[in-house]
Amino acid sequence: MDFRFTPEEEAFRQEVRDYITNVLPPDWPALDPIDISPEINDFVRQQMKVVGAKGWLSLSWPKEHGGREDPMLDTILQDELAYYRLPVRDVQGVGNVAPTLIHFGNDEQRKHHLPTIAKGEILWCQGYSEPGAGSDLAGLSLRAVPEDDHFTVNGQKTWTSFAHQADWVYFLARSNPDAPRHQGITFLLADMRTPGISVNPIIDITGNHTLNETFYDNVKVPRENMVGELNRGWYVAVGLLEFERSGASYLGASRRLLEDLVGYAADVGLRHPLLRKRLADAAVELEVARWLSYRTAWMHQHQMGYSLEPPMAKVFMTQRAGHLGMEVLGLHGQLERGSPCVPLQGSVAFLTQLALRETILAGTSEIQRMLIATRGLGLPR
Amino acid sequence: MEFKFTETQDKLRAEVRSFLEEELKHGSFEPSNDAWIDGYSKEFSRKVGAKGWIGTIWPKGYGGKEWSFVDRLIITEELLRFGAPVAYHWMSDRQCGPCVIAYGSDEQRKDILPRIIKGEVSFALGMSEPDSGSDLASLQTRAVETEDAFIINGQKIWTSGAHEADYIYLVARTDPDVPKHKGISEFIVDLKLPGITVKPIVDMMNSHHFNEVYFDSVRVPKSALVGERNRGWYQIAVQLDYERSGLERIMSPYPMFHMMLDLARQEPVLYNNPEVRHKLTDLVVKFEVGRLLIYRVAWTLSQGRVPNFESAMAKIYGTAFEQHLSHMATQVLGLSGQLMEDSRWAPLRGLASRSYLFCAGATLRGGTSEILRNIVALRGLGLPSQ
Amino acid sequence: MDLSLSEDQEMLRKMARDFLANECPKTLVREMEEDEKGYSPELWAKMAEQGWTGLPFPEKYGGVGYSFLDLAVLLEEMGRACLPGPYFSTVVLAGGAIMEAGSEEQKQKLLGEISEGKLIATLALTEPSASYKANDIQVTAAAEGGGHVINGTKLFVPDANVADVMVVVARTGGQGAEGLTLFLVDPKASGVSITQLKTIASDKLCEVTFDKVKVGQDAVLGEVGKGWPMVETVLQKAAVAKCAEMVGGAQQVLEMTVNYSKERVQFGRPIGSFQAIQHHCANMAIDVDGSRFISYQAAWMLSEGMPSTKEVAMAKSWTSDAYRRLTALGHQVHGGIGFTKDHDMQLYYRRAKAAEVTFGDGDFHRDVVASEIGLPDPA
Repeated sequence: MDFRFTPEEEAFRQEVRDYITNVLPPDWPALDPIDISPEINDFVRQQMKVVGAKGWLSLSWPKEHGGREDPMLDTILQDELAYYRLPVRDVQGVGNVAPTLIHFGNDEQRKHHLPTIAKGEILWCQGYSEPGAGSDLAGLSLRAVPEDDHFTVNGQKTWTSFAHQADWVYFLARSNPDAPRHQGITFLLADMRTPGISVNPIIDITGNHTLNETFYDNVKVPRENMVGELNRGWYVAVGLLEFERSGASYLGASRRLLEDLVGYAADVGLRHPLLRKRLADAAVELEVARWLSYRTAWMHQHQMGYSLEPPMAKVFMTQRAGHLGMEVLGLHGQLERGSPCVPLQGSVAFLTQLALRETILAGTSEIQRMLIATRGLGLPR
Repeated sequence: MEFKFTETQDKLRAEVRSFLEEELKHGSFEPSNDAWIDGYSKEFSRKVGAKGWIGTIWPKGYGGKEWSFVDRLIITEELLRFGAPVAYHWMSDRQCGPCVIAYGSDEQRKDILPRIIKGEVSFALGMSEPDSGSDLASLQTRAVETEDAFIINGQKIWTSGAHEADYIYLVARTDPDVPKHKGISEFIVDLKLPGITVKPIVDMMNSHHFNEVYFDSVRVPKSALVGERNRGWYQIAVQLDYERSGLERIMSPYPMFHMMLDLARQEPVLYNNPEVRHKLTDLVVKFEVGRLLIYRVAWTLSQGRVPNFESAMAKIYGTAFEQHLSHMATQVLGLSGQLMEDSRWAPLRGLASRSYLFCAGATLRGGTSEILRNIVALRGLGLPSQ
Repeated sequence: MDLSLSEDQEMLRKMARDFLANECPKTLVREMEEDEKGYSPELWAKMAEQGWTGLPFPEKYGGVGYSFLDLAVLLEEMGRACLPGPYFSTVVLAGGAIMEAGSEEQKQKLLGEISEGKLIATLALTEPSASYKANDIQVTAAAEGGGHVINGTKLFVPDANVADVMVVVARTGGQGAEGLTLFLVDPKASGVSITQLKTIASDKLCEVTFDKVKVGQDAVLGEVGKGWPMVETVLQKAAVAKCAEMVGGAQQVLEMTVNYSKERVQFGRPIGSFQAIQHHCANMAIDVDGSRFISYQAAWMLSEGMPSTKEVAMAKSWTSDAYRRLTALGHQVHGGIGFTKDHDMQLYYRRAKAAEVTFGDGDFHRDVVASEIGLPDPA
């Protein structure tokens, strides 16, 4: 056993830190910085291209697709970006679309999309959830009628993060309503500028606009945008669920929150023994989560398969980290950004609410536990 | 709303309390955890009966007093608070008597009720079977009706106190050919009948409390049937609400809790420790919430309504509290928290560690918390069934 | 980074698992709970033959020369098997103290005998105050005629009933961490009396009283008045060693529970297909893996001689709580059957509580973590 990172990995972490601290504006918000202002959005999009040019958006991809086959570096990158709250690694494009195309796509699709993802040029969004299909995703009803050279898509998606900024969407649609429900679903890609797609904002609990409803009105999606086989999209999506959950971004965000809180306690001179215990408790939880996350990367790195592993770190982080700040800041924890007397730029109020949102998005924790139980432990369905 | 007791109720409480203090003074019992289910004393139950504190809510025609459910709860609260040995009459007073009143024949009522009221009858509950725990309706013990009797064959398990009891309140299958809920009947069976074998189960505390009860062609008179044949499942449901709704679902370890608070008041190492103070006050608050949840059940009953989800909710909360309390108690006592009864150095007479072991079953007996949550979801919140 | 065991460690684990499956069935575990001695001398001899009693000691003292991490692998298997007896007391506690504090001669003799399986030893540290803090050590050793006279009471001394020698922490002067000395004391010496306590884990913790017990100059382990730092090192290792045992127990409870929930049928389905049970099992799996990594990280750091105050405290605080949570969930899934003496579930549930309070519980260690992450000292 060896719980150290290699010198190369440590050097890479340092390189990432140097890059971020160099480039990050001094007044960078201590929050999830999306959509606070157009300037910040522009800055993020511009930096996506910068890190793309460094080759950091394809770190875990196979070499044949231009990657470095190093999931550990990718995890370190996610950890640090989240720590500094600089969201330039597109969760959907880099995290989901790229591995999906690598595993399930065809050469044409890979040639078309991988380079733009690797260069940080394109922002993706995910069209999964529908008003009537949340945790029970297979119950989706957005229709895609297969025709000669295209699908005609009609229906609605909801909870679509960043649909209002995204250039492309990947989504699941019902292509055969008569088949058993898992067997009539197709996985499609669409340019968000395609006529018939419209986006309607949802303001979330944090007061921010990241979520959207997305409507499809007679949208023509070309056949070549189908990933995998017709009516086999469910299995593509299930494969993808595994890429989605390494949890490193939760790690970095929580590590930062904890550091801020400890710093706050030290500055203010909070000495109450119970408060000390709570922060210590969080530090311990975080350390456990850190190993659950990096274990995922390590197993991936050694091609050990990871049926049980990926859900854990996320279950862990999304459930507990959010409450911490409130407990430490007490009454001050409720102050939002911009308020007088607000500690830590209001990050606590924001992150507490964000934790709730994050728990629900991308598969609720209940689904995570079900995955652990059925796939990991082999319990009957 | 009125969160207080009547003058009469306050008087009743004072009376029960002074009786128990007197008994303690004479050394007729030692306060113990779990004494409602583990503390068998025929003599003590007779004394409680003589005070008129058994069957208080029953109709006067059957020897009761027609007191309210809240009155009964006051009596049981004090008995539990003192950790008095009341197991002998507990099930009879709590659920078997009321079942006989609700469904029994006149003959049964005349035979059993006056004896329960005097504290002279002990019931064990014959429900769970090896393959029928949470899925109680799948039970397999058979009762076959002949010309003049029922012949019973099968096995019950987790039967608390069957080795101390006079009767077993038995749930058995009388019709195997209909859907499982529709072929079940209830019987009052004398445990001395030939063909009944009571086999002890030794639990993790090394004590004998549970039993297996085997029925080998046991011949019971037809008069043992309670209520209607094959209607047993529907009769049980009511019984289970009584079973789940008492303060014993949160006060089982109360004597230990009380002793721990006393100890903390005396020991500077404890009362000067901010964590201990925090833990204890947190427990006191949580206990009060649970106590009110249970008084709510009694109040609901006294309004003539069936507390079918309220009692499930109270039991989920109360038993989780008992587990939390036991865990906290052992933690507050640190290394000494692992010492068992009979150790010279054991604080609180070793009741903390005992409680930690005993409470593992609290969320299982009388309906697991998982099953009870389903009940709260279905009946309380109106969520659709799966 | 390498999160796997080495080939040698895998082999040690497999050998230990097979050996314990054969030699330490649960019947023995139950028997030993009732037994006066609490261990099987035959099994002890076989363990010595396997090299286990000398596993972490250098070869020059007759040991096998394995690392602390290797020892953790073995202890994990012992925790899984609920191995009864004085292995932990002898090797981790007393052996650890002798390694830290002993003179060359003492190490040669005592570690050699331990390695050969001829010597059972323990550490007499805690007292009726039930505290692991130096301040609370009140047993005294007064200098007299070249030796010392020991007076006072030690409590929670593991396996003193069968020990051939005890390492006793006593106050020779000073206050707090100053003036504490380690003594080698023969449990049969005049003035020593030993009474077994009755514990939740049915292990053999003892009350040991010292009534004017005379020991000679050669009984001092290390230097007079300089014992506490050695004790602290032993306690660090003991906390992590206890974590390794807990991880083994936790893994076994998870496996038992998952198997049971696949087999037990209610409502016409295995209960493992119900979501409530699946969630219990998933939560248990998270706790097993979390405990494993945080514990092994600490074991690895100790093995490498790295500063690890924070990591050790993290490991014990997390694993204590996680193991207890997990055994409680195990009971919830097992239902009544787990509550019986005949079922193995309760063996782990009882040991989890004992392990939690031993060598500092969660709160004790969280306090260390709090200072380590830079929080101001408590008010």
